[in-house]
Amino acid sequence: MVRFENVGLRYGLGPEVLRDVNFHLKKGSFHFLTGPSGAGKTSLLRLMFLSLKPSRGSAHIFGSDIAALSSSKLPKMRRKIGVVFQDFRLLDHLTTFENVALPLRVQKQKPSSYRDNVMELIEWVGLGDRADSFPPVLSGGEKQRAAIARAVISKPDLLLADEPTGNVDAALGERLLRLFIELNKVGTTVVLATHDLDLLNQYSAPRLQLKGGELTVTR
Amino acid sequence: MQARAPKPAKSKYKGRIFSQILPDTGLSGRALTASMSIMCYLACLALGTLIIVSKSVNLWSSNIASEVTVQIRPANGAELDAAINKALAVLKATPGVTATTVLQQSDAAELLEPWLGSAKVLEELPIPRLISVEIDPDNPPDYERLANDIAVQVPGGTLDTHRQWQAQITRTAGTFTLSSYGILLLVSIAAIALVIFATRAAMEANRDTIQVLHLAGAENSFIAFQVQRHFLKMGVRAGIIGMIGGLASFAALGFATKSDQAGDLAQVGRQLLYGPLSFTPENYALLAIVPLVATLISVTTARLAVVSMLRRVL
Repeated sequence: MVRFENVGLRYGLGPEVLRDVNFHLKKGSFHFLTGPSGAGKTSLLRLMFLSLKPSRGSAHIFGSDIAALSSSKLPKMRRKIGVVFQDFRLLDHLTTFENVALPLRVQKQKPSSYRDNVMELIEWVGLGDRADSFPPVLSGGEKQRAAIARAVISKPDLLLADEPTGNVDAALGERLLRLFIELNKVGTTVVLATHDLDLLNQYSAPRLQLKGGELTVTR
Repeated sequence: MQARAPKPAKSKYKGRIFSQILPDTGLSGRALTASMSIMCYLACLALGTLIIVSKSVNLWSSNIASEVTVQIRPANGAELDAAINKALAVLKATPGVTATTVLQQSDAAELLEPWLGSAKVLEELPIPRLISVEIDPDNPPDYERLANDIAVQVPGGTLDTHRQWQAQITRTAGTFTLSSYGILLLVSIAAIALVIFATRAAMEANRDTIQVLHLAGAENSFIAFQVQRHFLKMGVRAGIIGMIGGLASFAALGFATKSDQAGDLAQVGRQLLYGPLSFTPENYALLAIVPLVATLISVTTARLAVVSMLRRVL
């Protein structure tokens, strides 16, 4: 599913923010990504959601070398990846419903084919009464749930979440973790970047630990 | 925790019209619409000038082409009236000549009076006699042969086909036409530059939205379509405003003076808008090209600019 070998990443002519990163995520696996702030977690996630290309090494996702991917193949690859951003990245001019439906809309699916599914998911994450609200009037936790719903609506093969429970209370955090676990059980490969020790202790999964740009894998 | 409102029914979203993925804000502002409208207005004026010049030149040329003049200068020992009769006989025998009118000596003297003074003096001068010859424009005579026949058979006779004037009018019209095309070209280039600049600004203003669309798996063509639909609306709006402005200007020109003299600016302005039926629809159709071209330029330029910018993004 995802295989990184001796991957290095630098921005421009700056120092390497990731050095000799090696790991392999099997299809249907669940991993936590941990590490202190500035360790390179977001950079590693950006490599995995095809927002960056590695400066060196070999990075393969879904069997394709991302350094050699042509821009015409990127959209299809990205549709297999769901991303939850730390800063949500909801579009302020679209309602919660429209934000959640966005990945299906860009795939040019007919609204009649996904309307009920989108609404069901919105209700599941507890935003049923906020479906018509715009992000600026949502609380941090509500935005987080909308962002998660948008990431999982198209049932991605790979789900990458950057601090997905950072803005919600413990009960909702646990509920969202259960959502990720359920998705993982039906075959989605999940990488969950978090600082939350409670969350890490709630579920036993391998950890990708980043420190100073170097990665170690603990079981 | 605040009380939750009742959950909306699933059917609430049936038939719902989705919001535009890219908001209007920051895409095609009023300044761009105003600038494009001015471009379209100038294009309308240039097109109108082209139509006026082309129609007027055709009118003048056909008037000149339908008439030639035979001039008979008093030659030594030759009887002027006999020469006129000989010339009339040659003209009558020439196919393509439809009518002849001999300009009387008194009329010729009147024509020269402003320069040479009283008619009494003119009577003593050897004034050339003129024959106005109307010809069939669809079946004109062989001018070279006619000129030769007049020169050989009529003492002191020459044929003036007005070709010199015709050539001068054609050259002047050509200059106006070239200038109009030049203006149209410059206006189009300026419009393209404006749209490129505006597209870049729009992409910059919507950088975050475009990034989210990319990460959601949107193809470049999908994003380009979202941008170009804004420029489509802007192009149509600016084109129509510019065209209405152009038509209003020609209407104002038409009513600026009461003059009805052929070729007068006011008269051609009126003719452009309310002229003979065979003429006006064609003019309106030509001016209607302006909004079409403005829209085409806006949409095509925006699309090419967006696709080119998106290609540089991973």
